[in-house]
Amino acid sequence: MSLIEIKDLKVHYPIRSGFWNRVTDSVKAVDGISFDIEAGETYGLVGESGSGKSTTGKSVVGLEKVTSGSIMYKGKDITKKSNRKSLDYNHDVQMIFQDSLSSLNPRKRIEDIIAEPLRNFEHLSKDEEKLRVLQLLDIVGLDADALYKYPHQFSGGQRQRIGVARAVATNPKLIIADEPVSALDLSVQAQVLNFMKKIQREFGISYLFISHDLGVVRHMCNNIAIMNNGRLVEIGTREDIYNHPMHIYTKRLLAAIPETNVSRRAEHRANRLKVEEVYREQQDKYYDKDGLAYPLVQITPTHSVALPEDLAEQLKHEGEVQA
Amino acid sequence: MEENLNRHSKISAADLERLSKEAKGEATPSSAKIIWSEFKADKPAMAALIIIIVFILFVMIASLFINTPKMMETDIMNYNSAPGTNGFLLGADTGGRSIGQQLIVGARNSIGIAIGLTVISSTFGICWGLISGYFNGYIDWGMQRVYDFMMMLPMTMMIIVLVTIIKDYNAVTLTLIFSIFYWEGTSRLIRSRTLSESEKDYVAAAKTSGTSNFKIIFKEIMPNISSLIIVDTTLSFAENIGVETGLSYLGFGLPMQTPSLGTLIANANDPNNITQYWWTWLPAALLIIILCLSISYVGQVVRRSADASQRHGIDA
Amino acid sequence: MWKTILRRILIMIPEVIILSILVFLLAKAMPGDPFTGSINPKADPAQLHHLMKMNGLYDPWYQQYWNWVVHLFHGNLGNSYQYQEPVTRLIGSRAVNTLWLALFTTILTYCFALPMGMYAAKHEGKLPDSIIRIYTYVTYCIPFFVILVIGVWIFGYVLGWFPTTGSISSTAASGLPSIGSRFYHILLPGVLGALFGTVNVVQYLRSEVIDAKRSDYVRTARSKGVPEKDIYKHHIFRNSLLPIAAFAGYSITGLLNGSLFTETVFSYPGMGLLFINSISYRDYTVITALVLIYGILNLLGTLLSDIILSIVDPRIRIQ
Repeated sequence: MSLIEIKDLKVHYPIRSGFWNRVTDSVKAVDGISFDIEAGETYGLVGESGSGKSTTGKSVVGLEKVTSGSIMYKGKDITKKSNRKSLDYNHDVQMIFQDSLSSLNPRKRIEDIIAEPLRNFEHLSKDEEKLRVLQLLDIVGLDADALYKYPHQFSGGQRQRIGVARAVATNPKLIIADEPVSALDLSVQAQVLNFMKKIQREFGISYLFISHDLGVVRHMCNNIAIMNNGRLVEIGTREDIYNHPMHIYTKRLLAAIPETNVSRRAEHRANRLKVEEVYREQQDKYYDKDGLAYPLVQITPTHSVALPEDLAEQLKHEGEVQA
Repeated sequence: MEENLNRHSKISAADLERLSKEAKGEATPSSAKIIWSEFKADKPAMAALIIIIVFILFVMIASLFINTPKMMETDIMNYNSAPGTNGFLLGADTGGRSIGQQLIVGARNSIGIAIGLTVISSTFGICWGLISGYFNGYIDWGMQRVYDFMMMLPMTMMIIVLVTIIKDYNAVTLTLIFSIFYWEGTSRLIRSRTLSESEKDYVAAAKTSGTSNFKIIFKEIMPNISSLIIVDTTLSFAENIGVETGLSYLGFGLPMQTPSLGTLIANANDPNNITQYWWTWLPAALLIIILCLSISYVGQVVRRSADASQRHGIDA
Repeated sequence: MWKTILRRILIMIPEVIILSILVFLLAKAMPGDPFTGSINPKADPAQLHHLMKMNGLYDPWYQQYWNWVVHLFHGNLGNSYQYQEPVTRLIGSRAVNTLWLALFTTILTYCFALPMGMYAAKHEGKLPDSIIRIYTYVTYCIPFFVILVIGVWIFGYVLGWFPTTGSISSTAASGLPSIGSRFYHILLPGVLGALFGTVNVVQYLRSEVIDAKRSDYVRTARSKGVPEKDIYKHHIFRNSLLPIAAFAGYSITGLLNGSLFTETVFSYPGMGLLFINSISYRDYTVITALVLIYGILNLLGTLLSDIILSIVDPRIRIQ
């Protein structure tokens, strides 16, 4: 059994209009997605901004009201508030936010910030709690000095590490990391990511790693789901996605990864233009008449792509021939 | 978790005392301390604050030594005695009653009601604004409709009508009646700030940390708008002095036997008093002006100090 | 746009209904009966009883309320017991006075506040700005009735420059002199009201202008070489004007509230003074009518402001 099983998750926001302010339409932020997260793995959720990946993350941690579908944890559907309560769900599932400054209460000292989940879920004595906070700070590489300071006194990278320490405090099974490093400098990004990896190794935590940066995702994730306009377009292992991308949207995302090798700049640019050209030509084939992705079709045991039936058959065949 | 942490962290229970002592040495002062030290640096503001406190203490204590019923007895012999005559330092009014004593008792009554009104209406307004702003949706919608309705009511008129209906009202009932109508300004201010605070990620983080809504509202959000609350409360204290005195001036505040700064100013309604016997009302008018100005001055400095603590980055 | 207005008006209807019930019940709860003062105190209690019955004062409250509402829709607010005159006519004559004073005060307030707000914003953070800020706060903090009393004392009694009672001189001839006399009577309360009521407009205009000063379109205009004077005239002021105008609606509440004090101090025969007098005479019909009118005027003021703002800022419309 997987750690978390997300099934046909939908989050729609109503649009009210007209004279009586009735619900006339809805924004489909998340429109029927399903995937599983295994214990101990890092699951990447990739998409451009507005694709619904953050909404998905917030639904999994219980911050978003779900329209329909289920999220199963320990055999219970945690989209219901009562189930979250009875499971002490957030003891096991925590979140790291994108904006490290906004996610730490500016009026609270670091000790109180990190101890907050401990105080709510584990009732420790004063000394035990302080020791726990100090150890957590040590694990994310911060000195004990930090204890009585305020968030604004730290740099972005340090703050994000404090955010990591808070998320780890109750030793959760799963942490939702919503673009945890996209607001940081490149050099600091690597540092925070390495702390996250180290913690995963030491504590056996799973991550749902939400990002728009395929480079970072490649560094972090075993399994990856690509999201576009509220639907999943491709699911697969790291190898599936990076070496055999099948959906044109995935190909386009991959082509957009910046190339550091300057000597191959022209080649890279030509490749990007070619992918873009193909995308424009074949867009109608890969999306239905409303411009939305098709349901996922399994190509290999690990790899599923959102394709219409005929195209899927064709690609499956090509894949087998290649293999 | 415990074993896990012990295994991966160098820090053990033995280091606890040493480390927390070290950390204490590095501790950052709280924003309340920053506001206070900014405030202390402003000499005129300190002077104003001390004057206000000393004055309030003076009227509170001095009025204990004044026998109010006796003071309010009419004494024709001293009809409108000028200041300094017949043993009246500040003169006497048409009923031969000492203006000086009435000023002390009246100031105590007026300030007492203003303090009570500020405490009740601000507390209510803050809670209303926080709850309305934090819980979006139907709760907010309903609370907003009540707010709209209260805003529509002509409040001075409503207070006057209520005062005429309630028999035997006293300072406490009067304060409560005022409070019904004077929480709206605070609540609107607090609500709009709470709306924007609730959007921030630290609120979401508190939710995922298992903190209850009640605690999030009062322990997470409220400290972040505390400077706004302090400033608003100081300024509404200055404003509230005008509420009771104004109503008493019109004749619908404190009953005639209970002196107030407003009833003293009402002496000016008599054309003879206003010109010839100026001492019956002018001191009370000047006292109100000075009080309101110094309180609002303190409020201004508090606002500046709060901004300064903002500059230090605590209220980001 | 029209939808917004219509929806706002629909929300208003229950508010007005609740207000009318509230006002009616409060008036009923007031002590004494309306006849005690108006008929011979030695009148036979049986006769009084008869009068009460005739006027439906023994009916259940909802019955009385319903009769009152029906009369209301026929434009009949009943008779004033104190003045023995239809309430509509009585209030009509007083309302003109109150509205003149309110209009004059509003115009003067804008005359004082607009230049102050602009000037403060232009010199943001410098001496003029802090002087204007101190001025607005000082005027805001002092209770208005104290200012009125001191004003009427200095300028009315001691210096004798302005009349201290009434709305028109009894000797003024009709025509131009009567208009002049009316204006003379509202001059002092109007100027005092305007001088001490600038804070909202000044603060709001100042922050609007400062925002506009930092906005991209003003920076663009400046880099295009538009003269500084024209930037203020065409780009900043024009954009800030409508939201400022919207304040006029909100300020109605304050003006009406203030009318109770202004009219008492200046013995100015408007609705505020009428209310104070009616309270002492327990003149219920007048009291209920006045509270209702003030409430509805407050509501219309807010509605006006909301409509202006929804024209300026489409975001408000969506709600």
